[in-house]
Amino acid sequence: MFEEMLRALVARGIRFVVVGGVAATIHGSARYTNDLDICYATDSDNLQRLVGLLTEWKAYLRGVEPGLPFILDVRTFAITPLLTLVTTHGDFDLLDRVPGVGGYEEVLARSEEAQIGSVRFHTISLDALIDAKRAARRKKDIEHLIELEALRALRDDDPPHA
Amino acid sequence: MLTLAEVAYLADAPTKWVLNTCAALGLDAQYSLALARRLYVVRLLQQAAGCSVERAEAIAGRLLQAAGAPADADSVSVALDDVGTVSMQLDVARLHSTFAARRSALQTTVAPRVRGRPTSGAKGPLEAARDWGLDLSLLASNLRRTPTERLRQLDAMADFRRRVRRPVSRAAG
Repeated sequence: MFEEMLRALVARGIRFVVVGGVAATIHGSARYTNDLDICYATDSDNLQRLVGLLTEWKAYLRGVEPGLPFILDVRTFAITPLLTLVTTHGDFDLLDRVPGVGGYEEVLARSEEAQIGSVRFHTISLDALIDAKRAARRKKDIEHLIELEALRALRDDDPPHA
Repeated sequence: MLTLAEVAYLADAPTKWVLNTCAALGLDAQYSLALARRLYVVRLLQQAAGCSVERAEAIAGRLLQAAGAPADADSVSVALDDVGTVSMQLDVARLHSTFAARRSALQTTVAPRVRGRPTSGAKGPLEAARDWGLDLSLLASNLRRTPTERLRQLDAMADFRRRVRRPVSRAAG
């Protein structure tokens, strides 16, 4: 599911950084996540590519009743900083910025390259993810923060695989 | 019912603006979805067209048809002054779409921030995790895997959950 989603994003040339639960998994988190969260570049070419992919994936708003008017186009991205979607490929959250880190360029500057199969993509660094969780300060972020900080301590004691 | 913070999120406005606007317009203090939708339109008109909150509220009322149901028309023209010298076109479909997207985010992701200062971190992170009840051996074993292996494991779990859920939902349907 996630591998397929990431492969499609990369194949379309979409500029993004993986953030959230999948990024935490890549850094060693044992928590289960059901959705892929990305922070995307907001230039119109990138948005156009995202719109194309999401249209193909029949994206719709998650957690609301079916049949509501939902326009999926470049303008929607410009006025909706957080889109929480359900798609044919899985749940998908799209953010134009990450609290405590910044917009796409700042997130990219604090990212690392990851690879699954032949797919290479950027994922937010563990330190930046910790900053994001600290800034968001939702109850679930605070719980998650404890795990991420433990992971950082374990990693620093014994550096992980490359 | 919603909380003040949830109404403010849906209206894309600070909580103080919600409180002041509700007081100025004599709107019901019960924080409902209908109120949030109305305030969202008021806020939009106030910011985009420089309408007073009173005029914006009157326009919002016409647009949202009191019960808060989406209007049928995709686009409507609204007068910005008493005699209709100045008017603007409002994309009703987009307005409802954007509000629905905010509802979706609120429902699934957005949650209130925890109040108070962050913990000082007097304990070390490993001790804090142990006290919280986390299994550090599980984390250590995850760290021994490569990032690719960790992601593949998550993928396998997600696929397993999907496969388990499908027959249940078919049986229920």
